[in-house]
Amino acid sequence: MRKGQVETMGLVIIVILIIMIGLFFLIFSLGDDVDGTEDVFLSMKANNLVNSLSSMNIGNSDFGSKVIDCCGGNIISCTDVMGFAEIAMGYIDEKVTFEVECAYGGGPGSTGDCLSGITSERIVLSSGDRFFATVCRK
Amino acid sequence: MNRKGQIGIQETMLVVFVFFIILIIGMILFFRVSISSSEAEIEEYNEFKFKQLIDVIPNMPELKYSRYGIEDVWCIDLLKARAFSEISDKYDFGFKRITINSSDTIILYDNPAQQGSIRRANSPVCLYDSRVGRFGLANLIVEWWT
Repeated sequence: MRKGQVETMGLVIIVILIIMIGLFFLIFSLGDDVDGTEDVFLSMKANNLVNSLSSMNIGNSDFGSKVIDCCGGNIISCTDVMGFAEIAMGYIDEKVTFEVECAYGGGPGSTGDCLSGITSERIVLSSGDRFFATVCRK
Repeated sequence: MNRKGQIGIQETMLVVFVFFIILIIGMILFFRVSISSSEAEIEEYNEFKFKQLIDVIPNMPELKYSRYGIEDVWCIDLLKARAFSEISDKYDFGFKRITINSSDTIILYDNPAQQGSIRRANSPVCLYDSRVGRFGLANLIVEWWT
């Protein structure tokens, strides 16, 4: 092998090594930036919110009964439902929306300022009415 | 040894030398990236464990409301919480403070670090007050010294 050929071979090896090192860097620097744990955390918060509400008492009644009354057309119950939901939402730092879906339509609708995010489990009541919460990512 | 042969050997040695230098640099960089990646994963895991407490605490049998041993309502029992706060030093949650805020404040666990930044997670929880037999709302606050 001639002197020039040996030098060319050495240069080629060095260039290949530099490219390989560069590729290694690219692979590690372009890591997955999606934080799945944050979504799990928000899901826990949303579930805590609806579970707390479903268990709590309002006056001589409970939250679920108030939702059923509200869906039945009782405006005072609707005010109570949304009022207590807003108190619970105050314990969450992120934007939250609480929504009631009545089995036969109507009802109080939703309160809050989160348009899309992580949604809690839907609490389905004996009447078929249901409610859930959505927590937005920060 | 003739001159041409000597130059050939020198060139080969130079190429091998440069090869090893680059190999060593590559290995150092690779291990540094690996270590920092592992550290980030450990940090992420600890962060998740911390945030998970807002789900773990209300579901602890030591705190959870039950009636005749049946856990049909998702709620923290106020009396159990007060009793737990007396013995919580036997538990190890790390450098954390866990508080339930309602009409009064119950510090469930208190082990703050002397220094470091504080991270905070909070969530609404249901709190059963057996004195009045009512389920109400409370704020569960978990603080972590990192």
